Amino acid sequence: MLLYIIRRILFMIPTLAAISILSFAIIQLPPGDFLTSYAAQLAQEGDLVDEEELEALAQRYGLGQPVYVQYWKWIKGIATKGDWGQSMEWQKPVAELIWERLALTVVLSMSALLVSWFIAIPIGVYSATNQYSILDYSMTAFSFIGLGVPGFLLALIILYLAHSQLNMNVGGLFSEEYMLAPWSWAKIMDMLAHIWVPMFIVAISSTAGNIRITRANLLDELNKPYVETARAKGVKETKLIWKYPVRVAMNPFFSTVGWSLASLISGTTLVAMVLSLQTTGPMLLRSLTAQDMYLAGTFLFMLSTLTIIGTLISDVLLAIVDPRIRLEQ
Amino acid sequence: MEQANNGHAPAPVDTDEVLLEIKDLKTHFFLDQGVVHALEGVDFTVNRGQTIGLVGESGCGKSVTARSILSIVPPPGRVVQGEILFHRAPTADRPGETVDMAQLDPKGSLARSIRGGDISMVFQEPMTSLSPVHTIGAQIIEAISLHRDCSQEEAAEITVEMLRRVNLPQPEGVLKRYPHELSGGMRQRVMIAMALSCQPSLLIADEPTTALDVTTQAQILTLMQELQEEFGMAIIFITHDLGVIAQMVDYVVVMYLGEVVEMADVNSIFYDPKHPYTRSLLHSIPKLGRKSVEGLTSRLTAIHGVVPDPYSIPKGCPYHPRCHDAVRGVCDTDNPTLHTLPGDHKVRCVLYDD
Ligand SMILES: Nc1ncnc2c1ncn2[C@@H]1O[C@H](COP(=O)(O)OP(=O)(O)O)[C@@H](O)[C@H]1O
Ligand code: SF4
Ligand SMILES: [Mg+2]
Repeated sequence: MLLYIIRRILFMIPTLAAISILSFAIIQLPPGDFLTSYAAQLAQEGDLVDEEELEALAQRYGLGQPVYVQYWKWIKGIATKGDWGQSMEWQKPVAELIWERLALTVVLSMSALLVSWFIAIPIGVYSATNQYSILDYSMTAFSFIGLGVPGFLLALIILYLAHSQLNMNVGGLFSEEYMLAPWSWAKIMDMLAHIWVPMFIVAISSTAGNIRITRANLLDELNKPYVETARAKGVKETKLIWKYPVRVAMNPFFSTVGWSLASLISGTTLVAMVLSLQTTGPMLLRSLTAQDMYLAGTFLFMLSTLTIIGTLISDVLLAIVDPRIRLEQ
Repeated sequence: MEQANNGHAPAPVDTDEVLLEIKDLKTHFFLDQGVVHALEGVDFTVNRGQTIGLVGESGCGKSVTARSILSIVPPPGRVVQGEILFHRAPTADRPGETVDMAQLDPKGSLARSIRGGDISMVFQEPMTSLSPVHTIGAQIIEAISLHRDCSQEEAAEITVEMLRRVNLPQPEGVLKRYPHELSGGMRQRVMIAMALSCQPSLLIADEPTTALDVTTQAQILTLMQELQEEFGMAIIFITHDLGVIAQMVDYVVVMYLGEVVEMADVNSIFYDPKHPYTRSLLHSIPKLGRKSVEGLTSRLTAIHGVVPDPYSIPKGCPYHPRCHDAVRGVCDTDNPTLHTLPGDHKVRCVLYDD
């Protein structure tokens, strides 16, 4: 297994190189060079164009030099200094912009993912084992509604209800006083107090689907002979259900959980915009519309990287939970 | 004649003592399309240490009978009438008792302690009857821990011993293996080891060799005979393979459409069959000669006509649309009762009415 993982990681290197070239091609897309547009933008905003700063940037990113030199400088900057380039729109280094957002996004999405499955699994198991019961019907109805209502609409409704009925503002991840404050214990507590509503909105919109997946997978397993074997052994019914068919029915979940890593970044964009969350989704979208190319390229690079890593994680997880799958060829 | 019984000495158990009595058992499935009368009044008795063969075409209710005995009939099926009296032998901490499996709560603790403890089952599909995500060891140890008062280590020791008894090479290694790492024959040995690990007084084997190749089939059958001599349990052997019946059992129960149509000791069934259905079953085996039938694997095929669909069981004798001896005006109106002929040979057919 370890050998397999190492080999997969080694294989990742050429793939990542290819992705980085692609991402860089995107950075190069807009006409003119980055520096000219940067200077233009500064001028437009009435800022003083600091010739020295421009010179330093040109030096740093090899602007004006052949494309491969620029690419090499970009990659070298990432690898050695964690320098992902400069955001034009924010006038800040990309690295400074994304890490906090990335961390927030991961916290939000991961907790939403866990909450969603935590709700979905028991309900899905109940629905499958009590097929055609009243609760099964109501859950089926709920999940159809849940599947039909997009997350951002749910966010809008909740935002509106909270505001009109409770006079509460549930948007955002922080209170105003902490919004721009540096990280501190108090800021973390403030975030924990605010993260609930967005987390549940993000969780609920995937719960409906997860209930359906759990229910369908479990229904497939419930009539398998190994379940009857366990029953014929005299195993208690509830224990039997959780130990055997549920366990097997969860395998597809493990095989997809890694992929959700990539959608962590882009997935909840609409909800995040409605709720004005400082996550990566809105920034990614903005960077694309604003042609903020270093930022956009960086996001693209990260998305692809996370997809590859996520797939590996999924494969490894699945091999761990399902002994029938062997990783060594 | 001796060959039919394969000359095996009976197990050292009092075979006159009744172990299981099934009386007028009816199990129905309540589907949206209608009610499937899977069992329409089944009666037979199993003595301690006896091997009973349950035979009949596919769909006649053999598996449903087995599941009814264990009270694991899957919904929407349920036992609607009759008794399944199981005479439980006394143990150190409890006297002997008679339990009606048809009356028990299937999920209750008494039913669960009998299932796997006193009555266990080997299923038809060795490839899918074991959990794919648990080791062989874990699955057998679980069975032992449920019914025997012992530690995990002792359960593991018993498991290794059982795996050795079913002739699996390197039993300690098999303990840690997953089902997909074993062949079909090995898995069926594992199933047998698991079924016998709590020393049941009754083993139900539902077509245990049907899914296996001929050589493996013969090995498994021989193994089961050896184990029966050793453990002395009674066996209900379900099959549609008359060759297997001839090799394995003492007593034969022939079923047709959820009813017992004939039952007698194995020699009477093979050499003096009474019921037209039993006769056509035997005729459908091309060369069941007077010679040895050991290892014979003829299947029941090519009986005239087809089994009617289970929603509309014919009125009168259910076999009359296919029966060459049917008496007009009689067979298509009344279903005959089970008569007892001399030699305790029971048959359900008007031809034997007094
Ligand atoms: N789970 C079920 N649902 C509906 N009908 C069933 C079910 N199991 C068995 N039956 C019906 O009961 C009858 C007997 O089946 P079974 O006992 O499996 O036959 P066999 O003798 O081949 O083992 C068949 O008509 C079958 O359609
Ligand atoms: S009762 Fe009639 S139809 Fe039925 S088996 Fe006997 S002769 Fe045939
Ligand atoms: Mg069957």
